[in-house]
This record gives sequence, structure tokens and C-alpha cells, in this order.
Amino acid sequence: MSHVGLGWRSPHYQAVLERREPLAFLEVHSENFFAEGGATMEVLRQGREAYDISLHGVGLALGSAAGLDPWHLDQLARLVEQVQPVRVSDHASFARAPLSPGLLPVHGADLLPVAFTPAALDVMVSNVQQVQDRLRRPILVENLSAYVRWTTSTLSEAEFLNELTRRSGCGLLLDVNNLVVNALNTAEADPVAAACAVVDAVDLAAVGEIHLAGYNDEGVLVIDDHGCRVHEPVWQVYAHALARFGRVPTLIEWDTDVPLLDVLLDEVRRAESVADAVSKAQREAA
Amino acid sequence: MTQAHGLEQTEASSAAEALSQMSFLAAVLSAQSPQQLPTGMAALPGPRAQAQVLSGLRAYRANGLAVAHRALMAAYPSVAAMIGEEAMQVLARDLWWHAPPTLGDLARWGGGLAAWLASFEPLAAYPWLPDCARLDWAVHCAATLADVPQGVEDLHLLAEVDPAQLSLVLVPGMVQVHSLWPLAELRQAHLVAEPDPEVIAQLLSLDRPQASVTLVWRQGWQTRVDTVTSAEAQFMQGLAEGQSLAQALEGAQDTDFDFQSWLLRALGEAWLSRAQHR
Repeated sequence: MSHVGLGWRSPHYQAVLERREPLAFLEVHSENFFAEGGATMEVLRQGREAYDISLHGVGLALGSAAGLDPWHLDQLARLVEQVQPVRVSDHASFARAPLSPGLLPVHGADLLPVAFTPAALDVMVSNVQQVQDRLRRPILVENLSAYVRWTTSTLSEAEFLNELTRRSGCGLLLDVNNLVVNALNTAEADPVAAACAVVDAVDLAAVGEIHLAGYNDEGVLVIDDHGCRVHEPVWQVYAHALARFGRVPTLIEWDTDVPLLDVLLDEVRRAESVADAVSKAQREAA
Repeated sequence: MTQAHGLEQTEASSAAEALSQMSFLAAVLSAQSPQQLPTGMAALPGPRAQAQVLSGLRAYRANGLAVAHRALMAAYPSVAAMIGEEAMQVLARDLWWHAPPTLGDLARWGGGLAAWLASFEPLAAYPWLPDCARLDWAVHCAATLADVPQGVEDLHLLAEVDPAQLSLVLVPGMVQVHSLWPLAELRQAHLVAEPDPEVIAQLLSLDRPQASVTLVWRQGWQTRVDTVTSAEAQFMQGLAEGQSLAQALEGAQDTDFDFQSWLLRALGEAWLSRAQHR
């Protein structure tokens, strides 16, 4: 039984439904299915008949000091009720804030990093708890790739995430690609070792899913664009993560210049073979 | 530390956090390219990022414009086909800076494009664009509505009840888009694989403009678009406003409206939801 799922995007709506490839789950962006009906919801209904669905949000803005948008939470709650997903997740980011004091919040439509401070932690814990209370289930929160840093941070990323999971009861969606992108952008001498150190620092029981994707070196910065195959350093960190966490559900994400389905399935098979190799090595060592 | 003092400190920290986030987001969404990072932020420690301190902020700003462009391309396919990707990029950028999203679902952003186009000087020579944008947006919004059940409830009442005591209820979400341009035909002509310039020129010829009404409605999970006559539009508007069948017919009596023909079409196109006593 595979533990690997696929990020299901519009170019492959039809092909996935027709081919019924063996996949552990399909993951969709929750916001793409906020409609009350229509063609996309029909696609999701058919996908749900054949696969477990994981709902992965990009817009809850869990770290926003301006608070959650009740409309967004209503839409998500309706979708969760409808789909009964195996997992619900979003990011440890903010996006909602007013542009000037006294104005209503706008939404930046991006995954903006929060400062790793006790105050930002309080905000995120409160928002995550609000989501979980409404959905009546724990969610997973994903670590970010960040292109700026807050000088006000007083906690490490792992400390922040561990406190978040302990206090709110949420789980962690560990994006291994993001760990490597951050290590590359901060010019760690050994990016793989730096990413593995974060893997080792997060709470063992908190990790409920792993994301794998490709990144793009744009010269000044390495951008987490989900636009190519998973890079070798990411596979190495993934093997390390599996050795620590076991065979947790894993997602192949590809959102930019989405290739043929067979390319994505090839990445799925590779993730499975990495897991097999880790299991074999552990058996032999035992 | 007293409890009250601790609470004050927590509130002050939260306020500072909110202020920091506001400054960051304002820098990401500002029309003016920032010359420095917001207070409390720094470039990543890598030598490449340090050499270009604003690179991280620029990455977020660029991503915002890219998602804005994708959102408008998806919501306005016929406008995009008419003016091309580059012009859509400019419009997306301007609209993004002028009216950023308020919701975390980008499919809901961009409803202001028609109004923006109406005052957008570089495209003033294409006066049909704002109306085409209104139609694109109506179709885009209709596609998210709840599925419409098939069939007409209690249609038999049509033969049994006095028209003054009868309502014909249209399917939910039906929208009329009025224009001096043949919007449905223009949309169709631009959404084919290879639009025919001659057909489009014919549709846009200046001696042609006349009032047209394009109807957008849902049939099951599909979104439908078609032209209706002014008389049909007037009659259906009456029904949509809750008039009895008799009142709606009276409103259309000075036109060439023919109820029997309309009813046949309405049943074929699934415009009707139910008939009911008033």
C-alpha cells in the first residue's frame, strides 16, 4: 500500500479520474473548491469516489494578527463537511492585515512569514484553535520557505513549530523542500545537514504529512516554485525524515509548468522506493 | 509582575506584531517599489541575498503580480483573448495595486475589472471591452453557484391556474448582461482555438451596435451563455422581480414577445425552476 499521494491540479483532473492509478491520496488546494457547485465540484466529487482527499489550504493565514476571516473559515468548514478529507492543512504564515491603521484587512494571497516570537506564537495558536474548534478536528500546519527574515525572532523555527503543536494540538506538515530551500538561501555550509537538523528538532509525534517538490535557483534566491522534479538534496533529507518519522503520508507537489501525469507518477514511485530503501536499511540494522 | 501588567505586555506585543505585519504587507502590495525593508525585517544571511537586500521583498511582490495575472486570465478568458497576455498583465498589476484582494480565495478577486477598463485610457479605442468583461465575470461567478436540479416543479399549474395567481420561477443565479455589443457572439468567437478576424470584425462593425441581452444561467453543473431578445429579457426580468405571469406578460405586451415560443425555449434551455401559486 503506497503512502504517497499527488497534488491534483486542473491539467490532470480528467487523466487521474480516467486512469485510477494507485495513489495513497489526492491533495487539492481547498480554495479551488470553495464553489457551491459547478464543474470543479463535480470533478472533486468524482475524485472523492476513487481516492482519499487531503485538503490543503493556502489562504487561511493562520499567523495573521488581524485574525481569521470568518468567511474563509465558513467556506472551509462546508468543504470539509462535504468531502470528509483524510487531512486538513494550511501554512504557518500570515496574509491578512490592514494596509493602514483603522482600515479593513486585505489579503496578500501569499505565504508571508511570521516572526518567531512568543507574540506571533500566541496569535497562531489562537487562530489554529479557532479553526480546529470550528472543524472539530485537528489540522496540520506547514513550515514555510521564507525569503526575508524578521530580526525580532527569538525562537528557532523548530522551537516555534513545536510550541505551536504542543499548545494548539495541531500536527505538523513537514515540507522537506522548504527546509532545503531555506538552508540554501541562508547559505548553510551543508544544506542537507542543516535541513536534517530541523527534521531532528521537530517533535517526533507531531508530523502527520511530508511534502516534496522542486525548487528553482533564480540566482539571488532559491525559489520554492514547485516547478520541476524533486532535487537530490531534498530526496536525501526525505530519507532522513522517513528514518525518523516512519512512513508518514507524503505528497508530490507540482504547481508551476505542470508536466505530463506520467512524470508526476514517476516522482511518486521514487518516493515509494526511497521509503522502501529506508525500511530495508532499518531492518538490516536491527 | 502583576496579572494586569502581564496582560498589558501581551497586548502590547500583539499590537506590535500586528503593526509589523501591516508594514510588511503594505510593502508587498504597494504600487511604489520600496527602497528599503520594513522595520524589523532583514535580508536572509546568504551572501547572494545580502548583496541584494531587497531581493526577498521583490520575490513576494513579483509573486503577487503573477497570481493576480493568473486570476484575471482565468476569470476573463474572452477579454484575455481580445487584448492578449501582456495587456492582461498590465491590467492585473494596476488592479492588484489599486484594489487588492480582501478574501483568501483568488477566484473572488477581480470583479472590478469592467469598471477599471471603462476608465483605462490605453484601451479606450475598444469600447466593447468593459461589457465583455462584465459577461466574463458573470460567467465566472455563475460557475461557482450550487447545481440546479433538473426539471420544472409543478409545471402542470400552467394549465390549471389563472395567470394572475401564478408565478413562474426562474433558475437561481440567472443573470442578464445588457450591452450595445453582441456579447455572446463576441465571447464565442474569441474562445475558439483560432479566432477568425473577419467574423470578429463583422461583429464589431460600427454600423451594427444595437441593444443586445446576453443570458447567463446554470443547467445542472454546467454554465450556459446565450442571447435573448429584448422582449424575452423584459419578460424574464418581470418574473425575476416576482411578478405574476399575468403581470410579466402585460409588461411585455408592447413588444413582439410570444409566450408559447418563449415557453418552448425556456423548457429546452432549462430556464425554469418551478411554477407556483402566488
